[in-house]
Amino acid sequence: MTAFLLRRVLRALLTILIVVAAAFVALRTTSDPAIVVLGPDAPPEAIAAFHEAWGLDRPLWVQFGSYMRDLVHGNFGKSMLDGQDALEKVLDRVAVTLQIMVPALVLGIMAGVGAGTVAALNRGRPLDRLMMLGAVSGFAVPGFVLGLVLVLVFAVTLQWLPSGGNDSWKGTLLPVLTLATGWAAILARFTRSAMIEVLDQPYIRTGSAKGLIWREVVIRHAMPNAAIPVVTMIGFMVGGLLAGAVVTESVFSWPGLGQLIVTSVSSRDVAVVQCVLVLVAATMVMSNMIVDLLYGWLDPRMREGGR
Amino acid sequence: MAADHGGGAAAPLLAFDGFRVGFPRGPAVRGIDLAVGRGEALGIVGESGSGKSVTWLAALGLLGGSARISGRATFDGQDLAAMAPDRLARLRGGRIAMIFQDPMSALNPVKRVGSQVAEVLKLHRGLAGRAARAETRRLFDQVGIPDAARRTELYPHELSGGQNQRVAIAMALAGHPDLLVADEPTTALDVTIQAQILTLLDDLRRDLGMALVLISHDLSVVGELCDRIAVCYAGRIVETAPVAQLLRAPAHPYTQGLIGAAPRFGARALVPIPGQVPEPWNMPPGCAFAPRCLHARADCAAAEPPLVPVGDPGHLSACLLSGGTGAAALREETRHAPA
Repeated sequence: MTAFLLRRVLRALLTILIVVAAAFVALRTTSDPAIVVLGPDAPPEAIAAFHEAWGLDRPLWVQFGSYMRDLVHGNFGKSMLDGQDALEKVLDRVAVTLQIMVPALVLGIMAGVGAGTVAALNRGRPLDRLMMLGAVSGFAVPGFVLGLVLVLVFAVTLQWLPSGGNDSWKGTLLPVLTLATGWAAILARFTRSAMIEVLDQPYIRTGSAKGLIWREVVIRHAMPNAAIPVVTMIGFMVGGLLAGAVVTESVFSWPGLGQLIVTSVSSRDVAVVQCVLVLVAATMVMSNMIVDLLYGWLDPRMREGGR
Repeated sequence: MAADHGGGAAAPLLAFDGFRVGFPRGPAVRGIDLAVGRGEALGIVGESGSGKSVTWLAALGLLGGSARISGRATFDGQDLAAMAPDRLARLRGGRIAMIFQDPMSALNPVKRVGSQVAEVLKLHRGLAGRAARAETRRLFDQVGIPDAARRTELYPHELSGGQNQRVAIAMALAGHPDLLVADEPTTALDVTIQAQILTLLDDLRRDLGMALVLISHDLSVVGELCDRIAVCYAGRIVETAPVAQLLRAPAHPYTQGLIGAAPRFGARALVPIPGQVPEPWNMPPGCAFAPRCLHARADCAAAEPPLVPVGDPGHLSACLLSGGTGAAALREETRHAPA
């Protein structure tokens, strides 16, 4: 188990390293931050001074080396725009993003898994059809369209809720609803098919044959088995949590990480972009690792291979 | 009435009366009269699609909502079809236990086998914790699983097919059943393991005094273990008799065909039954076996022949030709080799 964990952690670190290196090269070779920050009309002396100040005049591999050295010490550098500590700047935004992401994820999981289970248990009946119609619609409508429709209805026409911003808790409702709808739609279909497959297995009949009433069979024997693929899916969702709100945050002008990504990429604020990327990659890798561990816990057949 | 279709003189443990099961596409069981006596070993034989399993699954409420049941199935005087689903559920695994064909997939892959047995102990005998673990180990010993204490902690994929079937049997015994319904319990197992499982079932039935219903497509499996055999064809019982009687002097052409088609040691050509069981939505008129029967006459298609006594006590057959002297003539005609 320890060896397994160690191997996974090393692999995770390698993945993050590759992401950092690729981003580093891409950001620094596609355009010059000095020109983006100072403007195209900036005098050459100013540009040279900017280069020297940020170390951009050194060879790329030297820059990367010193960047990595700082990174190991937990120093992500400073924003080229305002000199603020990159990590601090990013973490501030992460907190704002999580304000809508966490409730949306919880809501999406509850609604999606619930609807998928109910649909599977009523397979072929009108209730199933209705739920799947809802799920397919929710999946087919892109988040920005749904977001705009919600703004039109609840902010413009009814004027119940603000159209954007994070001034009060009311502002969270529409973005949360938008994000949760997308996740719930995916999870509903996923849960339904996982559940239907499990309900057809002979051990479900064994559960009934040993004297359990149907509800007990579903809870004790169907759900633990159906959970295996669903948990994987939720793991992917958690992995994409931080970077997943770019569009939704733009629609609702939610000042979270998604907005920071957009502005810092377009202004070539490399330290900030790198910091975001490391954080996003780390969440992805972490959640994948947690899913793998959960997998072994949920499905004893997976344990031998992993250890 | 019940005594008519066997099961002994005392009130039968379980009795079917005109039991029918219909699916949207057609009837799967078309009127079965059958009784199982206390402690009796009854074999149900038939090809796949003959309704031999569906009868029991339907009576115990193990078929989905699309199945329509009519007629009566009474267990110890209670009508199973009229019973509330929750009460029927508590009867299953308690007084009536079932084991199924593929032991590997009949056990939940994500739960330890011991806990799957303990679940029954909790449900039907109120045992939990240490008492349940001790009883689970005792049951594992009883069904011949060596090293029971360690094996209870394993998962189904860590055990062999035969051992999993033993676990399923332990699970069935856990509720102290009066009746064990074994639906093709050895079909998915190797031949050597088959014999072990069958011997185990036989020993347990004798030791515990429970009734055993053994459903199989294999006449030789059923012949070994049972007191009486009922032959199922196209959703009806076509013949029932004590084992020796049925194997020695089968009265129905279908039974004769089954015996003729069964492989046996000694040089004897297998005689297959031509054709296949008719689909529920495509039943021939009159006797359902007539289109495949070598002895079919014009009046076979006129009406479904009733199950009537033929000669010896407890021997019933549903064939126009098998009554009285006709039976002997029929047997003579179909005898391919000395049995």
